[in-house]
This record gives sequence, C-alpha cells and structure tokens, in this order.
Amino acid sequence: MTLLDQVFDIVVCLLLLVLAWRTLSATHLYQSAIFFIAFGLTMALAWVRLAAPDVALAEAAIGAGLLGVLLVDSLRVFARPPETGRDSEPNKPESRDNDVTTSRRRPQFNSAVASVTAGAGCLFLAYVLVAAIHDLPDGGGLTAQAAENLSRSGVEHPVTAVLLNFRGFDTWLEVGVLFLAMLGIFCAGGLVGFSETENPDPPGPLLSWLIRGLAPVMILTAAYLLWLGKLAPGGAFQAGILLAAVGILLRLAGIPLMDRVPRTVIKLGLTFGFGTFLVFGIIALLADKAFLEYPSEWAGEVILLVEAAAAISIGFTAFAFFAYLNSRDQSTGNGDTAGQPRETNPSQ
Amino acid sequence: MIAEIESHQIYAGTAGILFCLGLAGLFMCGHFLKKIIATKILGTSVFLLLVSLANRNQMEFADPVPHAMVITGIVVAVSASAFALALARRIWKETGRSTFEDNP
Repeated sequence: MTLLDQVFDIVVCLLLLVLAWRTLSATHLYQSAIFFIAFGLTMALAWVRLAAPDVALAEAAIGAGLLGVLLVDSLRVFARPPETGRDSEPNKPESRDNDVTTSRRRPQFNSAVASVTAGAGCLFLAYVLVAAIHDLPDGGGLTAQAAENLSRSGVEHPVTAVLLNFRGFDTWLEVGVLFLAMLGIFCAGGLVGFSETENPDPPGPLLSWLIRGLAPVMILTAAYLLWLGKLAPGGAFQAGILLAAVGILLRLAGIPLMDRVPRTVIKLGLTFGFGTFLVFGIIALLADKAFLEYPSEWAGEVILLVEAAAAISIGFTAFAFFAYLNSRDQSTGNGDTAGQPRETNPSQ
Repeated sequence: MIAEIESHQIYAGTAGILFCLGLAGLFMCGHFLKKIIATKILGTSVFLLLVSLANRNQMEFADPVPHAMVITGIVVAVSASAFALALARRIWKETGRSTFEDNP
C-alpha cells in the first residue's frame, strides 16, 4: 500500500467525518439534506476503497439517491405550515419555526454543563470503540467457505452467490421488509390513491424530453446490471433501484406512471419478488431439499429468475415510496377526496 | 509509523467515530428529519465497520458475507427511513409539530 493510497483513505475518512458533522450541525434542514447526500456519495467512495463495489453501487443508488429524493421531498412538506384541519384540537401549537430552520435552542436541558458532559461522553465512547476495533483479532470470516462453494452456486460473483444462493433467506425476508415498510407508509399516510393531481409545475420541454429519452436507456441499463450480477458487481438491488429511478424521473417530468398502470399490476409488482422467492422455496421443500436450496445444475437460471423478480419488486416498492409520499402532499387542501375515509374536514 | 496502518483500519476507526457522531446527533437534534438522518449515519457507521472488517484477511476476494449483509442492510435501512419519514410527515400534518418537545 503506497503512501498515496493512505493519504487518499485519510482524506476520504476526514471528509466523511466533516460531512457527518456538518449534516448534524447545520442550522437549516435543506443544508442538512444536501450534506447528507454528499455524505452518502463519499461513503460510496469509501466502499470502493474497501473493495466493495457492490455496496458502493447500492449506497450511491439507494442510500444517497433514493433517500435523498425522499428527504428533499419531505423538506417541501416541512417548509409549509401544516393544514391540519383538525378542529378537535383547540390550542394546537402554532409552530413558530415553520420555516425549515431547526431551532437552535438545543439541547433542551439548556446548560453548558450538559453539553460538555455529552461531548465528553461521546469522546470517551469514541475512544473505547476505536480501541476495541483496533483490538479485534485478525482472521475468521467466511471467505474460504464462500470460495469453496462458489462453483456450485450457479454464479461467478461471490457477493451475488451469497445474496441469492447461500443466504437467499436473508434476501427473501429483505424483500418482505420492503413490502412491510410500504404497507407501513400506506398506514401512516391514510388511504389515498397514488396520485390525484398531476405535478403542478412540470419541467421545461427540454428536461421533459430528456427524461423521456433517457427512460428506455435506464431500463436497459437496469437489465444489464441485473445480468451482470452473475459475474461482476451489480445485481437485483442496483437494478431495482434504477427501475425506481426511472419511475421517479418520469413522475417528476409530469408523467405519473402509477396512474396509468392498472392497480392490479401495481399490486402484482409489489408482491412479485416476495412471491417468487416463496414459490421457489416451496418447490425446493417439496423436492426434499432445504428451503430456498436450488438444484446446482439449474442454479444459475433460477437465480436469474428470482433476481429479476426481486428487482421488479424492489423497483416498484421504492417507486411506490416516493409516489405515495409525493402524491399525498400534492393533494393536501382540495384533492383529499378520493377514497379517504380517514378524516372528515368540517372546516372546508 | 504510518506505514503500518492498513486501509481497513483507517476506515474501521472512522466507523467508531461516526457511530458516536450519529448517536450524539440522534439525541441532540430536535427536528424529526435530523433525527432520521442521524439514525441513518449511525447505521452507516456500522456498515462501514462490517465492510472494513471483511477486508482484513484478503484472500482471492474480500469476505462476501458482510458485503451481502451490508447491501441487504442498506435497503432495509432506507425502507425504515422512508417509513419514519411518512410518520414524521403525518405528525407534522396532524399536529404541526416537528420535534418531540412539549413546547415547540
């Protein structure tokens, strides 16, 4: 390892720390969100340095990209005073910091002693953690086992082999977690359609045209990433998020995809990945094998199928996160009509 | 002295400090969004530690199990964050509160 490598690593680490600090200490939420996106991208750089390009792709697409979009979208909501429409709450707190600035009266137990204590505690914890990490024994790990069984897994890329063959169970449940999170978002948001209104201010013709032109290319890239997962970094997650990005971009360009797609297709898309895993798992059980154990001669094909299903589901779910959150607030005020039994609004 | 430090050690140490930053942010920041971001930083630091430990004994490739765990973890963390955002937005919409404080 050359000196230059070390310097680069140290610079990346310092950048990570500074960005994390600025994210948390920024007084304006908008700054926070932007610093956080920068943090995610720097993190992707760190993953590449740690020889984990799969993780880098996932972090850049999901951690920085998708969450960044959701955060910035939420900023718009918090920047506007809420239209609660609840008269049952007579003295609802008139929030004084409706602007996006967070209050600076923090911490609440307003004393310098407390801050110093908390800071010292954190420093101490940091010291203990770093010392403990430094003392961790070398060795261990499952590299040897993974390398030994790689030839039987049906794919050539070790991370994909672990994700979809050796630890397919994790990935199956993870698709389940995504589905659950989406149900949670539905519950937290109340029942509304995906979109009642078109995007109020569609972008100019150039951007709109560009997005329409890019969408097919992105779908193609997603398919390529999916296929590439077999032998190189890439795979279901990255491809799925790319599909979601297509949906988000089209929606921002004023083409609300979720409106045009029939509801049955949406439901099917959301559950497709989970279901496919389940079907193959049960087939394996019926054939007297372990759950989600693939026959080694067909493992490659089965993995590709399952991966494609997972990618479609992940794409649909991630897009649904955005579409649902986004359409909820566009409909605040007058559009809250379609199928929303949640609140009756006597004042309007 | 500096020549003895491996790349993964630098990142592992950073992960420890990031964890503390995230923890401090989780407690000290008031606004929901910042709490969510702090939780995300906290989680990312754990991922960083996992992946840097996967790099300790480089054989023909780095340990793929932590990598797979972290990829899964990133997706799960983002779905949890999205759910948290939905909850925060609902609270804001219903009560006009953006913090857990009694007197906003």
